[in-house]
Amino acid sequence: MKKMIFAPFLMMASLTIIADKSVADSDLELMSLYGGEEFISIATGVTQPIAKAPAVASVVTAEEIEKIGARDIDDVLETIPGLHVARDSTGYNPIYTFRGIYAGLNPQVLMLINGIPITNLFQGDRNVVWGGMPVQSISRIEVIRGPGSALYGADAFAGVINIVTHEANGEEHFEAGARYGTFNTKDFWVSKGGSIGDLKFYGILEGQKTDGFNEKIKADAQSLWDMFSGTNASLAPGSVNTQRENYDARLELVYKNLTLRGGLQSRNNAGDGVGTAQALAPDNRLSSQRFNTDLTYDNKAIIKDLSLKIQASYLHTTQEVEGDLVLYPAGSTGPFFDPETLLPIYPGGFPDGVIGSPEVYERHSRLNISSFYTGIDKHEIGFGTGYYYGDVYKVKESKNFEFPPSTEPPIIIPGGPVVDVSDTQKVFLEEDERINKYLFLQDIWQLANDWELTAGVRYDHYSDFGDTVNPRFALVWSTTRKLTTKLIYGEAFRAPSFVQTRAINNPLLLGNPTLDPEELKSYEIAFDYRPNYDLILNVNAFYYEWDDIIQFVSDPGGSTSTAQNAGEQTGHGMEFEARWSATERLKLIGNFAWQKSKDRNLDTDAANSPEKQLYAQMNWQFAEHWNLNLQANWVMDRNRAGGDARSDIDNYALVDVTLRRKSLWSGIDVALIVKNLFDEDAREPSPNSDFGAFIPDDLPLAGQTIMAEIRYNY
Amino acid sequence: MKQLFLNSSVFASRSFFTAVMLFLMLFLSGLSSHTVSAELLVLYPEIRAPFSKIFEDISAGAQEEFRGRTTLVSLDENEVALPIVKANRPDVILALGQRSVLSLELEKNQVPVVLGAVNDARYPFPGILMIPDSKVILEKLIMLSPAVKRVHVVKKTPGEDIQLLGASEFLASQGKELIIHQGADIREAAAIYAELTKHASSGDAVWILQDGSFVNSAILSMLLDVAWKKNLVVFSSNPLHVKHGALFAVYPDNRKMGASLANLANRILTSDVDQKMSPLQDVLLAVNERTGNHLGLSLSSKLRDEVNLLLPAR
Repeated sequence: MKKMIFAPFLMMASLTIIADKSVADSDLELMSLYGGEEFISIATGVTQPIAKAPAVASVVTAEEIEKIGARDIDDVLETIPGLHVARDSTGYNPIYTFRGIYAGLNPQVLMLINGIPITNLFQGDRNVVWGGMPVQSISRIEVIRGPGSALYGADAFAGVINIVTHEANGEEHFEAGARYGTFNTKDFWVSKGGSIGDLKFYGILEGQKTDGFNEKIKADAQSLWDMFSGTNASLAPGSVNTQRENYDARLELVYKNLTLRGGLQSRNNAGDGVGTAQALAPDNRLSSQRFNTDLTYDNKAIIKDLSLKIQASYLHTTQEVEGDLVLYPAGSTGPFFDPETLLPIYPGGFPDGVIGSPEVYERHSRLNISSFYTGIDKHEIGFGTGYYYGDVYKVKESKNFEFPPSTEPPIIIPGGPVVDVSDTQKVFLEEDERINKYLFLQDIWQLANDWELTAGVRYDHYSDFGDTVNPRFALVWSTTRKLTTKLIYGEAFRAPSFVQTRAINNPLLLGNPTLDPEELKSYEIAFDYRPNYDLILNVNAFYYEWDDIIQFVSDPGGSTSTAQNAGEQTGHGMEFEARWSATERLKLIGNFAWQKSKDRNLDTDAANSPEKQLYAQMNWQFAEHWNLNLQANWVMDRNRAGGDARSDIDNYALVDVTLRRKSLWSGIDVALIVKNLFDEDAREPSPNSDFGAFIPDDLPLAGQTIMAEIRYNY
Repeated sequence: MKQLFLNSSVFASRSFFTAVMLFLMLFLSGLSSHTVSAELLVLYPEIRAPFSKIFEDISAGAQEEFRGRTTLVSLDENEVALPIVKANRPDVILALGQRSVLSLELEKNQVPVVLGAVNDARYPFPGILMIPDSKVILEKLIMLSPAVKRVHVVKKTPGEDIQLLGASEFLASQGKELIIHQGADIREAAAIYAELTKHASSGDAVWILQDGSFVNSAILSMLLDVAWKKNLVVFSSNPLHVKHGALFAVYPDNRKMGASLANLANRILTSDVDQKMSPLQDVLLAVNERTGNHLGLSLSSKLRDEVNLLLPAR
């Protein structure tokens, strides 16, 4: 072994060089070769640039999520232009409202986790016991406004939300954190990433527990039944029930071209908002256990010019009731009235309340194969195929009522003990399965210098409602160096949910197995203008036609309603967004969305969506390690549904503040997060009914909340 | 015949066994001389994320390639490395970044040093600069835009600039020309850019040097505007320029660079190595697809295979 001895003059020479420089910053200065912090993350593979998507799309990164003090994805999604998170009465589940497309249960929005749908078959939503999703596992959230069925298939309708979790990139990482605040809300998380040889891993465990906010409602559905039946059963005025206990775990393993992921979303002890039947029931507790896994083989060049991605995935979801689910409280006569006399059918009432505990268990398996071919000059051709098998394999129900009353010797005595009707004709939903096979083809064609056309089409076959073909075209024109113009046309479909096709034995609403999917055609023009390096301006205008909207239509001569492809809505509007880096330390973001949508059947303005929405954010790094984030969100001009006699719902503005101190001690960051700083009385619309709105004063949102956060990382 | 065969095979297996044992002993002793006695100490500055990732990647690349044991030590500001060196007793030190070199207190250091992640070529160590080899950049230019005939570059300092070393000769060998402009200050440089872009036409390219071409955001904006109008190629070694509209930039492939540094360390243990810093060969390529499409460059699959980062997606 050869050891080298340095000649003294060499050392002197090197010392002279060193002495020239201010050492403190030289290493960082050197790193500026990459062109700044944002780029270094890309260049070192910490973050990936946005997937090429000729669409009106937004991306929010983990860094931005942290800055706004978000705890749940809904805190993030509310900041997206043209997207408003309204609330469903059941469990306060989110209704992601894009461009005036609003419906209870919100099946018109496709939510993906790492590109894989998490849609449930039962109601077409993300689960009745959704319970939110914490953000610490998230690397970025990509949102496409407008349809995307040509790529993503069913339900990529009003918009697509893709949640991308932190990837196992081999980076050594450990983080642990906790929050505590108002409503006895406690969050914690622990994550670890690294590599063992060629195996890269990332894992995270997150927990959230809260007593829930305690805003009150004055009256509920039972208040109305009390009026008809002369009872006094309603628990209103009373607090909404938004308590819950969530555990989320994710693991990702990457070995060469293979990625294996597993995820768990455990929702427990969840309150049901203003009640499952819009009647307060503070003791109701729901739970949901959701498990997913996927295995992906991804080879960018399986042979020359051809990439191949094969993905198999599995999702298991449950909707469960802890104990009994009280639909109407003790003493209620239930919603059972003689249509002629309006007198209660069970005048004695239900001493334990009207109880109906529905449970649904689903499993979903998917196989998807996709490929890109770049062997033809000026073309990038994508194609793929896939298979989906979804199965509502277990439906359980126990209840103490039956409607219409049985003509045979009843197995259920109204008001008597709860009877388990699982696997009988009296259960609320048929167990069933759905198979979907599909093919898609897309070409990104560079038509001429500065002109690029993306044309795609997807064919879907469904075992229950047949075929659908959905095309999409996007013409992107680099108009000038600073301006890009996009013209987009897309079609989409929304698969009927099982509750819409297979609901039975419901006192009010019945499924219809002959339903067609809802359809949407959308036209967009979008401009991306970057006058200088610090300012990005985006504006778009859109028009859409939403047809075959599935609605429950009153059956002639009966008290029930059956799902029909009855509705029709059109809408148009604009979205404007500006992002300005005023200085290195001060960044301003603003967006404004305006839409006007019409219910074509009733010839009225479409209900519940804000017609105007304004959002402003200031992020100011006012001193070394200190960051102050202020945001304000105005939600304006929400119309009532046709036939709803209530006056229009009030506008509201919520202001949030997040103050963060990084590196307080080595590796320790702390933050103070205040949501709804001014304790604004903000409300989301409650649904209307033939009897008027059950919750007349709408759904109150949380008042001021204060959270303290600490996190440690290395 | 059979017996003979057996005998010979027994014989053969005995001598085979002996040979295997000898080989194993030699191999193990050889192996042990590498795994046990060859020690690489990687010193790198402790800096904040995401910058720290650069050093992590270089270190990881070095660790993979070095034939022996590697110890990674990050250094706080003003930390002295001598106690670390004494404790680890390395055979060779890989110093990354300027803080690491300084920490070594070279007059007291007796261990050979390989240097990386600096951009000053005057260090008297074998090592690799963060400055890409001109040939590497210009090869990318020719691959992406073969029609370019003249490459203009504005440089700050009189005399030799390591970034341009060999550039003129390489371009000449490809039938192309390097035109060097020199400006004393930013005002002069701005005038030079204005003048050269005024007369430039399709077939001209502008090369923005690292920290040597006086390019601020106003000049870059002007340059990129004219380049868009006149179909000029602008390239550099700063990916941020690509985001704003330059056709391409090269940037360090840290992992590979780490491997190359480890190779230098491997060689230093067995033979003489030139005591000088070399320009960077291990680079990645960022390309602005929008600009490429505007220039009518066909970013065919062959090119796409070479492109590590395609921007912007909007």
